[in-house]
Amino acid sequence: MVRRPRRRLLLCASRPSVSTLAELVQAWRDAGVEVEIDTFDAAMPDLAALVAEADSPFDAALLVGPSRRAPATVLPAPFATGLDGRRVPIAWLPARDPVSLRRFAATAARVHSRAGARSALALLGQWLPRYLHVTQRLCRLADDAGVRALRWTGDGMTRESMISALGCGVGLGLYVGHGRSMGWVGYHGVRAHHFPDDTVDRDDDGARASASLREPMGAILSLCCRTASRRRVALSYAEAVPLMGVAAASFGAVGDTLYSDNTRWAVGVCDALAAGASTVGELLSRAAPASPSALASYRLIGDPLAPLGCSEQALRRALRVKTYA
Amino acid sequence: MTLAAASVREADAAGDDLGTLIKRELRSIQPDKLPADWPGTARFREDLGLDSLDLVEMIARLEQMTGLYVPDADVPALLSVAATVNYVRSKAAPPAGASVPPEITG
Repeated sequence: MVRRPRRRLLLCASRPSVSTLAELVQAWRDAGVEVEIDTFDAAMPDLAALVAEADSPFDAALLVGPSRRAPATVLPAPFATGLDGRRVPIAWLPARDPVSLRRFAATAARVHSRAGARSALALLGQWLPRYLHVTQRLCRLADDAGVRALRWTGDGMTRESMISALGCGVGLGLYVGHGRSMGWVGYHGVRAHHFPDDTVDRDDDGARASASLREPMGAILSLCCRTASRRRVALSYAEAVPLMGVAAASFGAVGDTLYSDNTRWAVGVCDALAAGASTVGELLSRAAPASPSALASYRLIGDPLAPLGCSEQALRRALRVKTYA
Repeated sequence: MTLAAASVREADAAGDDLGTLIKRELRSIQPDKLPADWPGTARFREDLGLDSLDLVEMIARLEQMTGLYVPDADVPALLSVAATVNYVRSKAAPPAGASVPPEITG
């Protein structure tokens, strides 16, 4: 019997943050991941360098540090290169406060623990012909690859109905359109505060308190400008998504992006899903385009090993979502 | 030999010339719009009716196939299958006068 090699993850976190992430660390270990934890006090480590210099290669790394630091400066790209030449996804999470860190850890742990063999992709897009055309094309690519595509674009849904639909627990969402540091321009503007603050809620026994509670997504990719930028905001939209419990991971740009680069990413994502990528880190590693600007623009936020599968139940809920397009 | 050059040579050696590969990718992008075959000099937009999204996707697929990166500034030159093949071959060829082949990358 061929055993799958154990995955290794490096978690670099400020000393006060480590205990708040215990639930996620346990979830990683339960999933067979070997977790190496490095704590720091004052000076934040260079995560890319740690990954590059590691004798035993890592499969992913996460840096949790002071929230005054921005994604653009703490990490150089979504990947580092290990000694073996492999691309290793590296992610960032700002440690704003213990409550949001625990919420993120609980969200990511929930995503790891739920059964998820089905592959589904929620296609989100601004109501402009160019982006609707892209989502139609991505629908076809996904269908050809045997991935269930759900077209939840701005021509068929309101902001509220789209946000409600994301609570079905689909594994992966992909947005195309214009973006800003505070959120998406599509759907007449989506901000972090539009998401309800009850994505993961448990009673004292840890059970889900209500059947109507939202399920978090595995990952949300914003293939647009600036959603991971700190321009004029204390916290970018891409950082808020995992901290609010909307998804275990998000992917966004730290500056302006090119339409051609975003299309390269989108095509690569569909191909990576078809090839069976099962986590956000694996997906992005496989999907990464050759364009240097496409790599340098983006950052991964949250859990780099966030699973992308969803349950049969989540898929059934998603298929019942009504659209008007 | 760079990875890109190796991919291009491999494709040519296998008899699947680049032009055929590019046409195959275009037909998968627009199966309903394109004929079974067309001249290599037929222009993508004016003669074949492809739009900017089709071309961006073709370039993305070309980059995946060859390992090359096609800067946006070079895209206007890719007017047809023939022009695209010439472009890829020019990028994959070793520089004139080079005595030491570049190391394999990637």
